[in-house]
Amino acid sequence: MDELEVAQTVFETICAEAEKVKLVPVAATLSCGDMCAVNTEALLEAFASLCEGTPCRGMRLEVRRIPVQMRCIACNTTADYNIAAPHCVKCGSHEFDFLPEPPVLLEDIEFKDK
Amino acid sequence: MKISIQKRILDANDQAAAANAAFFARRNILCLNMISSPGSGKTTLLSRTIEGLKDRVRIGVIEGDLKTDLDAQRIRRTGAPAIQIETSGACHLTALQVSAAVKELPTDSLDIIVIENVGNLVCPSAFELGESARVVVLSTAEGDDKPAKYPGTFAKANVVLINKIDLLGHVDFDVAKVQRDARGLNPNVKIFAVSARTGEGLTDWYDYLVSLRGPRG
Repeated sequence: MDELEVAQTVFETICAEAEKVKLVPVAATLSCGDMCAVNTEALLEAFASLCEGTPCRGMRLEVRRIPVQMRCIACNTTADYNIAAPHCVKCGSHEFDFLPEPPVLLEDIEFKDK
Repeated sequence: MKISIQKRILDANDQAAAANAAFFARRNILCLNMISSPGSGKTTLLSRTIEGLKDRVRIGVIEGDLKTDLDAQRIRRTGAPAIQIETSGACHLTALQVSAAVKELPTDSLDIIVIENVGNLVCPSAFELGESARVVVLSTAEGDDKPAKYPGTFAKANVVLINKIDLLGHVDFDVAKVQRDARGLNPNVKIFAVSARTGEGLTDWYDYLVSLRGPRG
């Protein structure tokens, strides 16, 4: 994926929020589905380079990978999709649907208190 | 102080994709997003499909490449309309690029639009374009380990086309392994083994495509 594009949007959003509250950002949390083509290392490198020379310099960005959910067609159980064992955790069926993948989401930003 | 943001980072693309999907639905157009590595034979497969289905459905094509309009030229030689998007280095198409390209297609006279994404098995899978279905093309020359190596792409595929089966016997490729691995990731995936060069296996693909499109509006 184009990690720089994601990092740029995250960075711009953080800057805009920091401007609104007039505080210095120190950390943020980003989440995405674990099958999403975002490479965490590349994203963090891109983000760190965007932050250089700005009030965001040195801030932490945590990237949380959220398991994609599957729904068993046989017994309707919903569970995390396990790529190494793609079957229903309850009845063992291999017939399932994917639920929509979690979006790439900027969840929260932590600011340094005045 | 921590504040909750909950901002979707790909929101602009997702909104454009939703608008594209609504546009296709209003016009009863089936839209396919075709994804593969470079050199898998997407354009040859597409040209052959257009020719094979010319009496049954009308197909238009949006081509994505870093440079040149060579693929759009090849598609136009079949008589089908084709729009080329040159991404100038970007490794995938976006929904906004597709919505601009669709405006240049004669959508009133099309049943199917195929978006041939930039050759890349990673990035295109992260960007919804408003498609009804995703088609992943894998050629036998690439090796049979691709579903295992690119699980995100294959898990999201509605269809996998195993192309260049005329090369079986010359390359180490186990069709059954790919079928097993792809279905392990996604049990609902449809898999067709075809050769765009010889035409082998294409009839089943054509019939499936027509059934997916449904009756002409």
